[in-house]
Amino acid sequence: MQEKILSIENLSVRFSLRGRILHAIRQVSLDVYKGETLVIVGESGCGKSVLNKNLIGLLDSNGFIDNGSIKYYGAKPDAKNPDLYGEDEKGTYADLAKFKKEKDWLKIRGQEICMILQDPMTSLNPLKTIGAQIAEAISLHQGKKGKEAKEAALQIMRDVRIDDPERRYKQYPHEFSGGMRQRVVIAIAIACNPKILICDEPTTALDVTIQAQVLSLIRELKEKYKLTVIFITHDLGVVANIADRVAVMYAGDIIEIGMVEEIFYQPKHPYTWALLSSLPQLGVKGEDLFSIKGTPPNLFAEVKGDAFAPRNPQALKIDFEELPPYFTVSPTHKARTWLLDERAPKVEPPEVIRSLNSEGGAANGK
Amino acid sequence: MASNEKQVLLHVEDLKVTFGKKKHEFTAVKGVSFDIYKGETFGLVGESGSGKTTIGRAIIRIHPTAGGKVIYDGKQINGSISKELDKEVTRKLQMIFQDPMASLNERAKVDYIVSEGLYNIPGITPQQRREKVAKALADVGLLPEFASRFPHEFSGGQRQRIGIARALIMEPEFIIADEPISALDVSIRAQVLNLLAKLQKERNLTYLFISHDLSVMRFICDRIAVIHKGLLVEMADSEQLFAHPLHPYTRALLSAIPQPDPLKERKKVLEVYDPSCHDYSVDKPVWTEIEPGHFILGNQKELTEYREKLKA
Repeated sequence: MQEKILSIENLSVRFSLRGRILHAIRQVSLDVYKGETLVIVGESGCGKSVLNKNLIGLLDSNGFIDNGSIKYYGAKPDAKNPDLYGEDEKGTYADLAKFKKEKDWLKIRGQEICMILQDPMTSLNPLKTIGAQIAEAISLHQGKKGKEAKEAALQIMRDVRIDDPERRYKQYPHEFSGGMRQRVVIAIAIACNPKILICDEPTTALDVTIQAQVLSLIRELKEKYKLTVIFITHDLGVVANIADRVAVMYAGDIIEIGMVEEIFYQPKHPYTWALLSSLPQLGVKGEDLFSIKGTPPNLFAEVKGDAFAPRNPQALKIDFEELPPYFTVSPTHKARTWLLDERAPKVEPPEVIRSLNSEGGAANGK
Repeated sequence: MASNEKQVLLHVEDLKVTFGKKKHEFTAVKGVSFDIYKGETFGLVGESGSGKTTIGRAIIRIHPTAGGKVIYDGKQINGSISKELDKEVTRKLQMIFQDPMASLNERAKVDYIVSEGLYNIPGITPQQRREKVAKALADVGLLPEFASRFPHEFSGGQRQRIGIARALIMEPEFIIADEPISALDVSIRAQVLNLLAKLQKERNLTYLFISHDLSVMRFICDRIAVIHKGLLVEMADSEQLFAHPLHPYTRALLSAIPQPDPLKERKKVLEVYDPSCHDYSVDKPVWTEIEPGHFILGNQKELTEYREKLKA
């Protein structure tokens, strides 16, 4: 088994909003292994960003963790705050769920876990040159100063494929195109020398051609800097290229998780089927594209049973009554749906999924 | 539909659009010609900055044109035109904008946003206007009572529907959809695409669909034109374009489409377009019909190569 770098256990996050409580993350457990690319996919509002904001202490001030732990194996224990750290059979860990103070977070954020945000237009400082912004991260996290920092910054700019770094170093963000700005943001993240890189929809604001380039860049940097990547997106179409594992989130819960081939060729949860079949790449011209009816559940109310049941035309009666447990499909693949129970009637996945399955499954030797 | 039955609804000839003056003049669209037939969906695809949106906006008279002709239904609609024709254009041509978060007036109620265009038509009573709003909202799958709400109360998909309702209320013949689904979630995308297809069937609408994403184009468009730096480089029926992409830029765009298939994705080779691969110093490129309905920009040497590729 691979080495765990991060282990989220029974995490539950709530927000207090105008006197009401919203249950954004509902008892999520997730392991992240060293050196893998884990993709978290789901609709907007499913909690994928909230989950990841917990990892770097950027949860909005009205949100709080009311249960669970986030164990990060990799940080050195701090003698001053022994209660933030613990030890188990995997080694010492920092429990990020207990981190409260900004001072404590500074030890994690940047040098251990780093995040790339969606919109490169708003995540750079317009008043400072690109070079200064990258060098700042280097001097903060690698302790290099002056010329040394500049050299390191130029090297990183070359690594993220910014042409003519000497000239670009002195330029301001507005002189860069969207794709180039995203490369700068990635460069700043890399400059912190993190162990985990979280990419929150880094390509949504970009053109398709640039998107493909940024994705391959992330893959390349992951190899070079031995990063663990957590990639958040709403588009299953883009992840086939970079993912090792895929977790599908719905209404604050992970409903299916597995290796990328398992999710694409043998998806089990009706919601994963729905996400896949609504991709225009798989649509048949002249016919309606599959679309998911209704809206995600209201998380102010307690969700009963399978959260996706009200939007699932083939939902079983028990889906409305009881939360399905995780059924194990293979050692790496599990899904939270009653369809996998041995008493369940046989429900065939939609045709597009089956055709994907027969193409890929055959090539896969299954 | 056989080609002789097709009726040209919009004819664009050598369209040029420039911004700025004198020293800082910038030509965004450098002479573009195409026809859009009645009832079809015509796709315009290119990267940001290629001028695709500018063409759409020039057709609908938001940007003045610097040269060329835009002929809609037999009448020239660019340049200076009579007031009546201008009004007719405003009614018959409508636009759906990219970002539903930015394109709706935050301080106006949905009722006003949707019906704003009707205020310019004399002889519509408030009662008629309300009925039209209710109908337009129902057509796009929203409830009539939403009319009294503000845009911030809606999700992205619902806002885009409001944007579509606003275009529909004028009962247009021709709709320019400028990246109508780029800002939406995948699951919502499907809903909006289905809605656009349904409306087209019901009302025999003609669409100009602008996008940077070829995967969506293949699904919705009958014909596709590829634009790069203000020039069309290739134009063909969707299936033809996907089956035999000839221009290197088209090939680059096609190779960038993400496939929801891990095994194919891993084998995929990304083609990157480098404009310097063309040598146009002596032999100038011309816009040529290389096979019926398939146009391409290239010089004589390239055209010979393209023809050989088609035969193979």
